[in-house]
Amino acid sequence: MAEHLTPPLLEMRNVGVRLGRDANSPALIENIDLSIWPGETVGLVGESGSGKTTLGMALVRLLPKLLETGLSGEVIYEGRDVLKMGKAELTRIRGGEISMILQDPMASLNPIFTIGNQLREGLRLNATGTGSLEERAIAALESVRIPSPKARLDNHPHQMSGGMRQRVVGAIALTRAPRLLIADEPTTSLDVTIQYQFLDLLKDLQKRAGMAMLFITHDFGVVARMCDRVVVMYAGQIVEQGPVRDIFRRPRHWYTRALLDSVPTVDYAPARLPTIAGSPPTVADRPAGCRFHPRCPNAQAKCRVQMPVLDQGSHAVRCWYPLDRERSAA
Amino acid sequence: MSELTSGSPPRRQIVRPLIAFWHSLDWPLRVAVGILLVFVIVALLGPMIAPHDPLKGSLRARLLPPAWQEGGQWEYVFGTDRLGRDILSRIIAGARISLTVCVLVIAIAGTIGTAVGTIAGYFGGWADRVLMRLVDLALSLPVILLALLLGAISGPSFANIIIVISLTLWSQYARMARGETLKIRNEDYVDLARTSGLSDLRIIVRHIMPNIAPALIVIATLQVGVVIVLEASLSFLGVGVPPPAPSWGSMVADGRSYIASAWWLCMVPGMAILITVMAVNLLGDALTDRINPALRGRNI
Amino acid sequence: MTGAILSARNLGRVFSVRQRGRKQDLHAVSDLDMDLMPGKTLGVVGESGCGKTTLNRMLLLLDTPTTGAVLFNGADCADLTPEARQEFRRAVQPVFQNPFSSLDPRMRVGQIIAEPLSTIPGMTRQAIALRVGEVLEAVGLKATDARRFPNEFSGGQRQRIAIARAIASKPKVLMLDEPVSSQDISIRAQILNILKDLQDEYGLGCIFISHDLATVRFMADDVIVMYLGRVVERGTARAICTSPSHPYTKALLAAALPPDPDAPQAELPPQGEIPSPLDPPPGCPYHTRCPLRFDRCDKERPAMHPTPHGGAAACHLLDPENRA
Repeated sequence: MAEHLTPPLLEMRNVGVRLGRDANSPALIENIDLSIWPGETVGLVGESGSGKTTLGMALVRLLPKLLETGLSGEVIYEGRDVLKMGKAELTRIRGGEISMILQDPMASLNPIFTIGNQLREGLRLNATGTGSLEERAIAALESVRIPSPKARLDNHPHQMSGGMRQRVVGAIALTRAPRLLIADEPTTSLDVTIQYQFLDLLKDLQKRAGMAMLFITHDFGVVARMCDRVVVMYAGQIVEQGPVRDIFRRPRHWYTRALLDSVPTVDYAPARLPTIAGSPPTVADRPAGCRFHPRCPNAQAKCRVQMPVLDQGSHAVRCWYPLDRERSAA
Repeated sequence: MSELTSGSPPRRQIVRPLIAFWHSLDWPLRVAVGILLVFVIVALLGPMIAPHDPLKGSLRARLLPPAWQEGGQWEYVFGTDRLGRDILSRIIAGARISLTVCVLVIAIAGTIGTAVGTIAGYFGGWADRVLMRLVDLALSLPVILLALLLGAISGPSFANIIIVISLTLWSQYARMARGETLKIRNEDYVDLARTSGLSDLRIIVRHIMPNIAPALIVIATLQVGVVIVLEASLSFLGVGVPPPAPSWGSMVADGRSYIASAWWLCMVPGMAILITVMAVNLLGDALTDRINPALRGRNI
Repeated sequence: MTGAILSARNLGRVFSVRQRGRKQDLHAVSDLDMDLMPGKTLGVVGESGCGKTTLNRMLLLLDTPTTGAVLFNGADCADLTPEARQEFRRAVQPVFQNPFSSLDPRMRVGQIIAEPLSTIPGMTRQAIALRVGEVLEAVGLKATDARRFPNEFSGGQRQRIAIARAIASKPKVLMLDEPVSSQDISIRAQILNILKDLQDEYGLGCIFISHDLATVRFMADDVIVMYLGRVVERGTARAICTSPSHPYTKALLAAALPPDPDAPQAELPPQGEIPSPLDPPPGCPYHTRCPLRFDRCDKERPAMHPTPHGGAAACHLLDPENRA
């Protein structure tokens, strides 16, 4: 794989987040080993309780205080560990080199200030632009395809539609030309036709800026469209990761395959959808052994008692009896 | 994020939340709860624990200072008034009066106010506008003047004081009930009750009332202090509980002219009012903090 | 159409809103015709501002139409006697999107489910308890769950409770407004299957409102597509989801991203913003976003014309007289 020849932009090593400093407190996420290379889009997929949002927040240390004390492992960015950085350095990196956009644009935008005001605030911190702040703000809005950008500068967030607000959030997130953009369900609250255009825009911006993206979502359609690599999370752990085509065509984990099978498509309507029995465990009641075993059609004795480890390779899986192994054994 | 839920039935179990509430209080608040319990018990037991008859005085024992002062006697712990009546027994009887007024006022004002507010919030439209104008009117009534007026017309009476204080306070319930009702009537389960064919009255009783109850309980608690002070003030002015009933307010009034010489005539009932109302307010604040997030029955 | 159990004829709803001090008319729904046949599912597809929620409320008689009529078994619902109205209430039951606001947090699950039964005369306590247990099992929960409170259940389970309540009175029609949109993917399939099973078992007609074409394909027999309060296309679910005629439907289809990294590029990708229903575009409501628009489109609103797939769509391009 070409990406293995260059060092990764960001490398997470054995990252975990507990509900507190005590080693016995339940872990929201654990044993996270994840690398992101420059320019690539990594999709982080999971359901409730998978920990995908916690992971995104942990990367930039935006966790609430209680969880911050339970943070462990290393997040290496350009040779330094983000988790051990001092406040000054962290502030410089956040928003500058690693930026984030969230699900609800109203949570990211201050309702009191005009969007021109909020854009200029971000632009002021980036000294490398040319032209006045006003010109740069207009250019930023144009880059996210907002029509009549000059007029929009004086709008307040509530005067714009959800899709436009999210674009403004994108423009603000990109004002300082970050090298990594973390997008946490950025299109979940948008209408589908607006989502389509927004994703198109993100792809375009990414290509132009050579930016890497960590795309957190629960929607496989979005993953298929946007991502180069996919990381599947379940109950706080990575259960499978690999190139996007491998994950979709040759999933190795029973959960991944069952999940893919359970999604309806427009192409045909079966009589019933394949389902996974039960529901994802909460932090409090995770089973022993493999966390998926109570819902797995292939659970064996070993799965009930021993936690599987994530194997190596470009398409890795955390399973004692992964799907491809079963086939090759036969 | 994962749900950190633990299921516990919100309504029927009153004991467990109370115990949890007690544990969540810091010491000043626990003292407040203690004081209120004492107040209620004293009020309820009343004449049974009073050492003397609050209405009968002994002219030989006039204006005795409290027991720990020079000239005081332990038979009359807090001293006696100008007619020789035991202050402690009068305080105890006064507690009973205050509690009675509180219960009656809150019952009357609470019922009327909640009904008005709920109807205004649920039905909206002209009912809302009319009823809320009524509330505005009630809020602009000057309590003291009204009481004085009524007192002048028909003389001080127990009924008067109940009516006047209720008239002042019902609008607070109405406002709160309306606000809470507005929050709830747009919830899906209210729509679902309508699609099940339930009448509006049934919906209000079965769905709206239980869900707005916590907020109203907080109001009621905070109002106890207000009622006590109002009653005391009105009695002090002479238009409250008629003499010789030992309302704390009228006790303070009686002792006015003796402040320099027999300070205990004012101070003791004054302190009783102060301590009780402070305790109520502390408790009410504590409840307010807890009622809104915790008892909603939702996952956080 | 005869035989339809629930219909809308020329249905319209106008709201009077105050914007910046001026009173404006918001046409939430206009000129809407639809028919639901017994035992079938009609999908209603659209995005924000299309009027699907208002339509749902009118069909549930939670809101009165400004124009047109809702018909139940052919009878106009505006003229129902109180008894007929109660019968309607029993026969048409909704399931809403948000399982957290659908269940009264202060009532036990059993009481919540029994509520629609409380208006049926002659049901004894035992009969009610029996029915509550029955429907809980039908949705995959336990009869003993009736004693518990809603906050003891997960989102997916709460939605099941909402469904159990909806079928308790043995309705003829289920009105489903985005019933799975707020659920996890693995839960969605479970709930959709339950809905399909219940529909087969009870012979229920369903109206299934969603913005997701893939889910609608799975659940619905026929589909109407709504845009700014009007029906822009109708047809079978298969036709709408594989070979739609209206440019908006094509945009919706393109936006329904398939779980396939090598899916071909969209034929007519969506463009533009959704206009506000307070200020709808003149002529065809979709023309501001339509890549196929021509000069007629901003002047004249298109009528419904027959489509190659056997349904109808409101587009000038389908007009047989359009030879320009």
